[in-house]
Amino acid sequence: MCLGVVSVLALTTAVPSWAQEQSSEYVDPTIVNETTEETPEGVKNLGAEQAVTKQKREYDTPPVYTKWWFWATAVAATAAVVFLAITPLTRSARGCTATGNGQIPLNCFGDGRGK
Amino acid sequence: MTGLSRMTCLVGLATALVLSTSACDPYTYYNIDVTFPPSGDANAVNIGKTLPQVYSCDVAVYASDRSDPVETGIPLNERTAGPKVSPCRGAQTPYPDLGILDYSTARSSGSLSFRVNVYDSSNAVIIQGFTTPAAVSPGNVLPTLELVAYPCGPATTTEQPNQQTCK
Repeated sequence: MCLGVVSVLALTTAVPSWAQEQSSEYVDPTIVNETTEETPEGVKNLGAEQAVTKQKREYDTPPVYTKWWFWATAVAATAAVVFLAITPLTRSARGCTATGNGQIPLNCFGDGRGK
Repeated sequence: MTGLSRMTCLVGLATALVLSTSACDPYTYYNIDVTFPPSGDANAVNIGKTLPQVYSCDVAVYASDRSDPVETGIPLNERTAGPKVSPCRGAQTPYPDLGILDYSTARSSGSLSFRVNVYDSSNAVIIQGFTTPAAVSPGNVLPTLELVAYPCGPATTTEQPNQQTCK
């Protein structure tokens, strides 16, 4: 285990030889020396009018969510799902005022009926 | 799609929703017709002796998946036009057609059977009967179940040789 830890440290901290051979001195291109006549890179267009163009997205057909009927349908569908989920629990059983011969009032008992 | 056609579409959707909901009745309806055995039957109720003892009656509901009743104490009403009245009232108890009941269940499967008990003034069961089990069928009114109620008593007597032992 100790050997593994040492190997990992060695691999992660070692600097490759090709990286050491390159010149590591960084020159900021915006720094203007007194002897330089050229305009430094990156500041050439300073002061010039920047043409900022915000590209407006254009669609062949506008997104459906921008339509009022999309949201109306979504609300209706949501209400329908809620309604269908609740209705079977609250729905009343049909009444029973008569049997086959039509004139006899009945006692109605059971689920979906008032006690 | 114009606004009008969209509105028509929404109205159609709502109508379909209402229709589908109304068409889906979750209940099964049972009609139970309770009678006494006809006078010529060996187990006919003794009109002069047993009927005057009738004090009250009720119906219990049994489900195929339970041993104890699903519901008890359901009253019958007499098969006559006009105000609903209990048929179990002593010598005025109607014979041989005791009463009727409409029962609904929200069960989606299994079967139900019904028991009628007729009590005397001491709350002892003196007449009893059962229906055969009838399968639940949501959304339907089942054919009327005939329930014949027999007098209770010793297993054999000279007068009524096949009397049942009621529980």
